[in-house]
Amino acid sequence: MTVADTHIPDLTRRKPRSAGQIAGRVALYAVLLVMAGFVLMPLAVIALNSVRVNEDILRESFIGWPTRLTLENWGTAWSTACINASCTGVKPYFWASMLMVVPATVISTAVGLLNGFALTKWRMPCADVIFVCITIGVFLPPQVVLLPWAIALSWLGLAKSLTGLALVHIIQGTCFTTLFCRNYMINLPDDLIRAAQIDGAGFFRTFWRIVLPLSPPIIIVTVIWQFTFIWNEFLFAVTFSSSDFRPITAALMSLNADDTGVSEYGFGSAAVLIAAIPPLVIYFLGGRYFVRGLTQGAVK
Amino acid sequence: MASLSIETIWKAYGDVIALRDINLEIADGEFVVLVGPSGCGKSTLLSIIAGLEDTSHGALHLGARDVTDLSPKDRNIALVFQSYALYPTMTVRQNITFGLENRRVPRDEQARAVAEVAKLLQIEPLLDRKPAQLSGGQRQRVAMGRALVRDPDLFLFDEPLSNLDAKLRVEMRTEMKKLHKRLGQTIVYVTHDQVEAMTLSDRIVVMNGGEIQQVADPDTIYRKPANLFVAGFIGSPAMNFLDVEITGRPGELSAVLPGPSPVTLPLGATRDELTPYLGRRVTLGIRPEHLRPGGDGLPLDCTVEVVEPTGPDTMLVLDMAGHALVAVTPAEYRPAEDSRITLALQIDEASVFDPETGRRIARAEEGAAVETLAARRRA
Repeated sequence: MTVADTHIPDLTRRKPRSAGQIAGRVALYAVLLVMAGFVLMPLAVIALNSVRVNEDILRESFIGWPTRLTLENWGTAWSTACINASCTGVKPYFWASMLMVVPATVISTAVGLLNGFALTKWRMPCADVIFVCITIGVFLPPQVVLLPWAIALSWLGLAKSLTGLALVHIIQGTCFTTLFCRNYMINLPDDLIRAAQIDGAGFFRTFWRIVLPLSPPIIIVTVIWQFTFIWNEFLFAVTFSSSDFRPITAALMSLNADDTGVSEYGFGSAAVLIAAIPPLVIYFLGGRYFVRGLTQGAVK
Repeated sequence: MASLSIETIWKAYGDVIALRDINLEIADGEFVVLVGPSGCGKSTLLSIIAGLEDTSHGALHLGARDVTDLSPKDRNIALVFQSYALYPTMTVRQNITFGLENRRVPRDEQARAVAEVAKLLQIEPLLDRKPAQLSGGQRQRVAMGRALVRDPDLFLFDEPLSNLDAKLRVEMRTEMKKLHKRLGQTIVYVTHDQVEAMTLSDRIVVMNGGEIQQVADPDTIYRKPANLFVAGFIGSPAMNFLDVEITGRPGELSAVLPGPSPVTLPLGATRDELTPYLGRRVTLGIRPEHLRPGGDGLPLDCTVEVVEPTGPDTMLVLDMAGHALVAVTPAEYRPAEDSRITLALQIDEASVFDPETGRRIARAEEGAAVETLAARRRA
């Protein structure tokens, strides 16, 4: 008898559900939808306001459907809105943020990867103590380190500069990246490192050829985390910036304080959304790996 | 290739002593197997030879070179790991050449070496695959290829076959033996599998508790174990141990098995070495195959408790006057359970141990042939 001759029975059987189970399901989804609506509400309001004419917002209500659609707010927010009496839109602040965030993310991730490797796979004296010291930085509230950083930056002659703020983020961020990378790399097999040692590879060669190629999941997690965190960070951004250099999060605060006294909800909303785009783009590009990376090693 | 000499190596982790006074001379081209239960120190010793662990005391010489303080890469050794430790992101070819690259071997020479090793191990079609695309046996071959390609002075194997299924393990075992015969490398091979130890090695090093128990060829290890540990560890099913009392007079000694119905085993005139033990207890070690269903030997009356046919043999779990015994008999011998049978004990093959020291009481003709721990120790 060939396979084709074999009678295949009906394979569409499902486990039967009772009426109670179905009702439970409906109730569950209803609750979830309400909660999702609650969370999405602010985003929806901002997104809608960014395409409404400001007079409509002021006349009707802050929360409402657009009666007239306009994209003018986006243009204004990007290039002509006035912030602290300079009418350049958020464009220069957006690029200032970019110039600071990208190097700070790349450098703190690189340092975290090296730290993680040295702390787990290289015989380093007191590795555990050093690791604990580094991770204390994760739990220190930023307000605690604000003043020491201000003093340190002025000593270094980097006060209120892009380099200074980037340095703060690199060093603060290294605590996080080290924690992530160390916890990832501790699960890499020791035998690989020993094999590389016997194959004659030194510290950097083992790192570059063996460890790094195995680390994309944690690199993606770390980059997303660092980029989002540094981009969205507000306290350091406000404290360690000046009119010469100001990240977008700090600049947004000044956007509404217009000298005519009229609240500009329209391009204000657009500016907020522009500021939110880069982290979202990063997350959409790497989000799949982000979740996978965070749960790495949980099931094996 | 080179010889390896291990001189009074000790290893301590804090207060825990993992290795105790290890002395071993391994000749050029010799295949030596380190065997012992887990935690006996065999893997630690291998790591020390590889240079992955430092010694707490003692010295290592590879050929004429003192390698005690050299880093692994400067020792010119190769190690095959139990986990294979293939670099997952590299192809088979890159895995094999990584060591050559690090040593700045010219590219054309690398290519030639890879081709040679691939041919030897029959992994040519696999060279451009990643380790994840290989079966267990193929990974094993690649791991061996990575070791072979560098032409090291010494090969180390850390339980290389233990991750393979039973059939493949036997195949690879034979292949390793063939390979050694062909290439004649010096090999130190760690395993907990005594069959591997017996079949592969020129000499076996039995370890326990961080100490060498016995170093000898497989036959000597099996037939003349140096102490109770070696006797009990090597052999499956394990050796039967009976505590007996030596009675009679010199030249006509007997071993008496105490109990409600004592059994007397006449030892005849060939066991003069037991004369000093007259009136004292010794431990008699009997291999299961030395209890035979017929033929010459001392008759022993036993009750059959369990019959376990294994295929090539029949294993019997017996009760002899209150003492448990295991016998391995030919497959066609199938006594009924709970029946009374008489087995012939090959008393000449039995080993005798001093129960206090655990050491073998050597027969007169063995003399100094038995390498005991004490004999291996240097002044």
